[in-house]
Amino acid sequence: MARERTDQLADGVARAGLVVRLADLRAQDRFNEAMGPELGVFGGAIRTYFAPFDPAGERYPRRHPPMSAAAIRNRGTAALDRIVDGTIGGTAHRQFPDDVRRTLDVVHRVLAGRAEPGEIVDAAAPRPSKVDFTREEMRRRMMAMTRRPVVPKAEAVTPAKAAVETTAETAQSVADLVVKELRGELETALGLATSSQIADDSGRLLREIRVLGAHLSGLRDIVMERRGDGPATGTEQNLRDEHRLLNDVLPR
Amino acid sequence: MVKAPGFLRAYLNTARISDGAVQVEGAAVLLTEDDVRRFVSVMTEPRRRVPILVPS
Repeated sequence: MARERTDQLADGVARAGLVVRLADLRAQDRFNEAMGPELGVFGGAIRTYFAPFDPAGERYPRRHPPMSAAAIRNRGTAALDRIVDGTIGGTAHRQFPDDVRRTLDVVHRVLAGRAEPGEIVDAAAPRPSKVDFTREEMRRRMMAMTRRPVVPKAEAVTPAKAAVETTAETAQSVADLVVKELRGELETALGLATSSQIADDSGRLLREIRVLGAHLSGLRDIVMERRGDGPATGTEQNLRDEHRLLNDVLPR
Repeated sequence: MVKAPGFLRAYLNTARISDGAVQVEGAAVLLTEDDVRRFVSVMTEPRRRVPILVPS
């Protein structure tokens, strides 16, 4: 009897399901042991195990419906039919492809007369995801940073004038670009150039500094000497004048 | 009684047909005590799509 039922089931669900026949009670016990207390099958019942299946982590054992031996006895073939229907129904449920899912709502509305068929086309167009948008935005900004060189066109109406203008524009854009993008580099380069020039003329500069130093020390000597003569009002006035003159002459 | 088209069983018997992860047989699979462990791994295969019917 059990074997007959099993073959009937196998015929019914061919390709849509897999039917197992437990060889004996020991095989059944071993099977139920592996399934755990909630997911076993025994006493002439038939159980359908849908995918995905994990006996250890299954929170809803009823998701894998058993049909009791009593129901099978009472309803006979109808009970088996119901199992086969459930099996095929469980297999038939699939996630629709992306384009179908996108248009499904609109199609329903069109069928209900609440939308125009043309709206399906809009709905079918893939919507840019957030990631795509930011990528596109980034690309646009990067393109905006890159100035396209203005190439004079040969087929321009007034070639000469156009060429002059475009050349001027190109020069302007290049100048802008140089000022904006290369400012830092230019300043560094200029700094380097000046320092190297100083290095070349360092001998002359050193000599001038030494001469200046000698002048200053000579002046200081003179001032100290005069102070040593005693604070005469006339001398002091002269000193003040000299100091002012020095301040005026020396570069600040 | 619901029945799959007659040719299907013969087709399944001619070659190793699978649902992408699990082999689908034309007839019931006989399971002995020693086969149970291997078969449980088939049942828990994450890519399995076909339901498995187990009469007791």
